[in-house]
Amino acid sequence: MLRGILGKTFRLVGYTIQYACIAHCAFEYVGGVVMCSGPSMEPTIQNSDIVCAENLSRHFYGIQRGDIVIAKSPSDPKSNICKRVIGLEGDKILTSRPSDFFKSHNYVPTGHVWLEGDNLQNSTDSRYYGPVPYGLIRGRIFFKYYFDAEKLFLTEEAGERA
Amino acid sequence: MSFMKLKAISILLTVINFINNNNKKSGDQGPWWQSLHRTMLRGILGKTFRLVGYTIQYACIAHCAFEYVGGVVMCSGPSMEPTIQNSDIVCAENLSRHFYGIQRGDIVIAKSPSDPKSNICKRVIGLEGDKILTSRPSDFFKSHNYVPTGHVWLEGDNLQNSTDSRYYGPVPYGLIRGRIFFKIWPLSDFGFLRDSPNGHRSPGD
Repeated sequence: MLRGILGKTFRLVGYTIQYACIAHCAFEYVGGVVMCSGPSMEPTIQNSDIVCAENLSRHFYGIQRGDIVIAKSPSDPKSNICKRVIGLEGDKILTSRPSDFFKSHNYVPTGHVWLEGDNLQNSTDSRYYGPVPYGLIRGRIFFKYYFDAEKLFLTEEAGERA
Repeated sequence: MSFMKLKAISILLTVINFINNNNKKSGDQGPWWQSLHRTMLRGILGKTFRLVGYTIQYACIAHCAFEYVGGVVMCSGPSMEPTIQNSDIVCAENLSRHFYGIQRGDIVIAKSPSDPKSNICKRVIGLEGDKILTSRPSDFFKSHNYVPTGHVWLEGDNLQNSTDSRYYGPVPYGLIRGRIFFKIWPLSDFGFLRDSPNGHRSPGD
């Protein structure tokens, strides 16, 4: 009786690990559904919006300017951030505020991207913690769900900063 | 060319085999080319899908094992001499990273901040909030910097020949992939890794 129960338990654990691994790889290499929180991407993505993210672009180095990406936060490795890519490596970024008299530019270093939220007044992004290494990017958001079952593709460009 | 011929012959034999089995079972007297198509497609497609399914299954399990438990890594480059020489083979474990257990003095593998396609292997000199001595010993005035939150300060053991945080700044913790804890090749150096030969670089010690 003990042998039967132990055998069944091991088989159950084995199947669980197997399917957990497959699910994890699917979420990491293909994509998944994410809920965003915070006001930093308004009006494109509101608080508590549900979006679809795909992870293939990151692995094939296909992230482009204007994409909205999910990345690990540089200041807190346990949390993720969701911002728009304003500049890729080598781009010249305007880093001064519009109210400054002298404009200052910076170049994005190799292997990094410059991220900014669409809601510039209320967003902690690269203007605060600097360029973000490409290796922290986890996926690209391409689709948003409305709760009234209408779908909208994210195509608005909220201001040019380069 | 002979390989293609062998493949064609084996497919043909499989097909003939399937047709014989099918005819014995059902006694179907339909046109021979119809039953040929049916059995050929069903047999080969079925086998292919099963093979692809098993491959994906085991690839996922292997990937998760390497990412969450650890693996064997070959290091190249002179930046960690004498602790790790060029072409040494070491064991890395990835559990410390997920449980945020990386400490000062650990040797870690991280994605390079200047090139996301390659990895770097350096020692952790400072964690977030630490005060790091960033001036050279030959400078008259010493300059210090604090490691920002969520970052670590990495330096190679071979200070004269290492591109590390002194060059590209503090590295975000999220880029760390694993911790090296054991060397398995060359056998003359088998065992746990030594402490840093450079002593401590933070002014508090």
